[in-house]
Amino acid sequence: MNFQHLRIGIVALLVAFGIYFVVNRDGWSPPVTAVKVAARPEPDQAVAPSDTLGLGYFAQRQIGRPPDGPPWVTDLLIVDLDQDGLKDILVCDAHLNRVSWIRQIRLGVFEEQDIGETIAGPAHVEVADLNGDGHLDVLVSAMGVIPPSNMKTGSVIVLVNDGTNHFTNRVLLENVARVSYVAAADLNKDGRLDLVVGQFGYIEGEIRWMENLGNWQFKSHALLDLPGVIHAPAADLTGSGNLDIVALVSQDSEEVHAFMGDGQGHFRDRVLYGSTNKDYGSSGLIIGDVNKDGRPDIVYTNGDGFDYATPGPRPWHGVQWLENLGDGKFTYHRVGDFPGCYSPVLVDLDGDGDQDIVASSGFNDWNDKRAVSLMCFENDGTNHFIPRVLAHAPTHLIVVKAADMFNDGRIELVTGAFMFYPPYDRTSRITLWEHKK
Amino acid sequence: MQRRQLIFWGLIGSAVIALSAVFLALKSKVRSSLPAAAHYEKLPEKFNQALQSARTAVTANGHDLDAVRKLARLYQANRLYAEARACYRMIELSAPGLTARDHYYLADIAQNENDLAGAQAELRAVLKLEPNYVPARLGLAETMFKSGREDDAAKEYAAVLAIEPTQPQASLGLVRLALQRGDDDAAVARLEELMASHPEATAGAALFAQILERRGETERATAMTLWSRQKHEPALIDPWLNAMQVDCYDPLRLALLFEEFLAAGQLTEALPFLDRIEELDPKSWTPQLLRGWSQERAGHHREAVEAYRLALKKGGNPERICPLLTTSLLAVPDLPEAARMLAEYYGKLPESVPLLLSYTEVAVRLGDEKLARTLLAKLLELDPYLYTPNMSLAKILWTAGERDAAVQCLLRIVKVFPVDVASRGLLGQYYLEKADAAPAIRPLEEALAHVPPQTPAQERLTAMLGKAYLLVGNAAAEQRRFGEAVDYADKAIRLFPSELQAYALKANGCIQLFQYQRAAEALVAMAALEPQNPTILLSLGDVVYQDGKADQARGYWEKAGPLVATGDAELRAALDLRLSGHITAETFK
Repeated sequence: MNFQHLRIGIVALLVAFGIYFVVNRDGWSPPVTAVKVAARPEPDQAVAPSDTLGLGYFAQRQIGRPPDGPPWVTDLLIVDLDQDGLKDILVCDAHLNRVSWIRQIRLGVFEEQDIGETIAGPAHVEVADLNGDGHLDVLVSAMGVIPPSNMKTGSVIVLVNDGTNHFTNRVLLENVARVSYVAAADLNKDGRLDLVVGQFGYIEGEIRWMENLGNWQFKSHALLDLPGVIHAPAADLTGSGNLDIVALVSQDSEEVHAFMGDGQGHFRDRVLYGSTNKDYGSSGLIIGDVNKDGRPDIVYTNGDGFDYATPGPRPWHGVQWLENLGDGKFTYHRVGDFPGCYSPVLVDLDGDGDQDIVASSGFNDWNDKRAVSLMCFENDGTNHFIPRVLAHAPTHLIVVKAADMFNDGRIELVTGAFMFYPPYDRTSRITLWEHKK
Repeated sequence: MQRRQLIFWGLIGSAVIALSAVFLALKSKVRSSLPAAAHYEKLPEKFNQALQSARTAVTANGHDLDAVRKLARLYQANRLYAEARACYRMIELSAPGLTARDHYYLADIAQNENDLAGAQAELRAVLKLEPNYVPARLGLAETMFKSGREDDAAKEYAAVLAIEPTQPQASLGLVRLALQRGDDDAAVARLEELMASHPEATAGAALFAQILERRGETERATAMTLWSRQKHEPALIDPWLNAMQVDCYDPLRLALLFEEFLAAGQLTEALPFLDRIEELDPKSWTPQLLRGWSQERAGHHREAVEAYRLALKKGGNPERICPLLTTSLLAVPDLPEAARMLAEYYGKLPESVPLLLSYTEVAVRLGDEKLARTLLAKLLELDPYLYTPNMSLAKILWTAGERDAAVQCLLRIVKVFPVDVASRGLLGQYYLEKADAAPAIRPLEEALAHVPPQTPAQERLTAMLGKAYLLVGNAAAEQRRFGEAVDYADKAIRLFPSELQAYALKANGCIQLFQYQRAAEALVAMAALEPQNPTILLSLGDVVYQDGKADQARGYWEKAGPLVATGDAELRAALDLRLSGHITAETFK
């Protein structure tokens, strides 16, 4: 070999190594400790007011009665119950076994009063004029006992409004597996409001619809023999003019079912999406148009922590939405992770014209002061969501609802706390999250 | 060398070198796909050490695919899915590519990331290579079912049954599909088969119970419900996924694996996960808490006590641990030790509701009334509407004769617990003993609505309520509120159809209201109960007479005559007056 060969060889080698280094730029990084995947920083203790979504965006105010011991608020509903133009709040308090009405007597001034008689384990509240007398009645699903149980202690109760804001209990269903959900809708288009009833139960549970025969008579029709029903709202998913029922079923199923209605009271069960993780912890479902395409989408959370050996968060907890593609087709999108996540709310929280998603946490690791209790997933305008922490305290927030409480065009939040396990050091019962003056 | 030769060899050499460069570049591209090195602070140090070893093995062995595979599984077992996926990508780019097991693990990642379509693609790849791996086919069926692809799911469930004819999860899947179609008969037939071949399939039993109940087969439904609650459904045996557990260093994931096996009733399989958590994080108290909890569930109270004590010693949260430790100590039983332990922690956390709940229970069981009173009062100050503490304090106060104070506890219970019988019964008794019957009525009525029929409790409550109705009714009559008196009399009659006083109250009230027909009915009932009582017949005659039926009245008076006792001159005179026909308005006053 002469020098020319050697030169060619050296040049070729250099070229080869050049290519090698260009391609393998990452290959020479130090073998370990190049990146530290660190724990989260401590939250700010003193939160400055802020105009952007995040800590300090809202000021907190406790409304209604102060808690008698660790509160067990299971649900709440923002509604103008007395139709006086001011939004009120209905509260299911499973500690006091009561449904109460936090009435906005003047703009920003609230007073709480019990309505009806005691109800064991109220779990969900809705309003509807069930008897067609022009007054809003209050529909309550009652579990009897809130912690996991096989007992047939469930009931559906309507608090009948006599028109003078006096409410009388009327039992529509009782001695059944624990009832977690009830809502009214005219499912068979006969002009009467029927009921969708979700029975969480424990090992046994079910979904049924109750056909309103008039004169407070109802006929039950079974839809699904599975325990773990959380929510089952009705909506027209396909634009057919017929109401369908969308049900979130937890326990071992962890599925979203659609019962497609024909308007005659017949339903066909379809699974729209399900997790194969039996501990997924499905916790709340709402229907709303996330992407504003005119079709109702489904937003749901998973973060239930009731039935774990060690109550608390799991890494897979969070929020997701099922995009309605039309023709009964849906596609899954994860919105974001949120340990202990409950109670999805679809609302344009920052007033920028797109739909954000607010959720609370009922089962986070509250020994960790950095654990988040209230979160907004801000829509960036393209239906991608950026998590914005709204609060670390108070803790154990199992329900959040949103509305323009003061008729000023801005959205306020109302949260309820369910303090199922310690620590109880950042307690609340009903909190109004209002804009700072 | 000739110029042409030189050019030839030069070109050959360049080509060889260029090919080498391309080879090196490709090889380095594979190597470059390794996830960036990182130190994971959330995971135990032992994981980071294992990770470093695994990465070193990859580089030392010239990117040997088995080493990359081990690295991939290490990442995956610790929920570092992006990193694991990068490793599998490296394997995919190299010959011979991904194995069936690699695809299965990628399917597991996809499922954990809620990507059902991705999981299905990977599971199909698994089944191309290993068509008989049941967990993969079952997984494919499940993901299809959960994506709403019922027909495809049915085919895959059927394929599982072709491999393993009584596979319980596949059978249950087909049951659910049958129910979705509204085909109860097919569902029931398959459930019969399932329960015959797999009596431990409790999910199937629970579903079967509901269908039977819906079909009106109540007795069998109840039996099936009981069966479903006695057993634990074993976890699916999945050797490939289980093999990954040895690489898990994530305490949370290990705790979840523990829970999974525990829920399946497999304590022996569950406990090693706690050992591993302890090994990885000797300071953590969580494994001891879970160990105690599982031992208690298995009825091993002493072992549970030891585990909880260790959890406390390791700095565990007393509000979480002490109540559980108390339960185990009470089961041992070792009451004095429970009291000592609770006194110690209550001293440190005097405002803790969970500690007070346990401490009050122990004080009550010890019979230490003074301590129990103090603790119960404190607890109810913090949380006024707890059932057991209110009831316990009520019993202590009641027994001590401090009934007014006891009633405050009972009222709190009644306010919050709509179907509690005991508190309402005691409240009723309290008011009756105070001769203040009116407030006794509501709690007694509520109690009676929820007490099991034909029980001594029902008898007692009925007696008290009947008495209350009569007392309140009589009081109303005395105050000339006769309508109210009659209503209470009717209520008392409904409870005690043989209670003379109730009929008498009703009759008197009706007479005052000039409702003679109703009064007569009450008196007829009384006469039926005491046919030999002349006073009832006299009154019946009076009422009937005032209702305009003189002949009928006379009949009753005549019937009463022979029944009057010889010495009862007043009654005899009254009868004679009526039978003489000299009846005036004054006669019936």
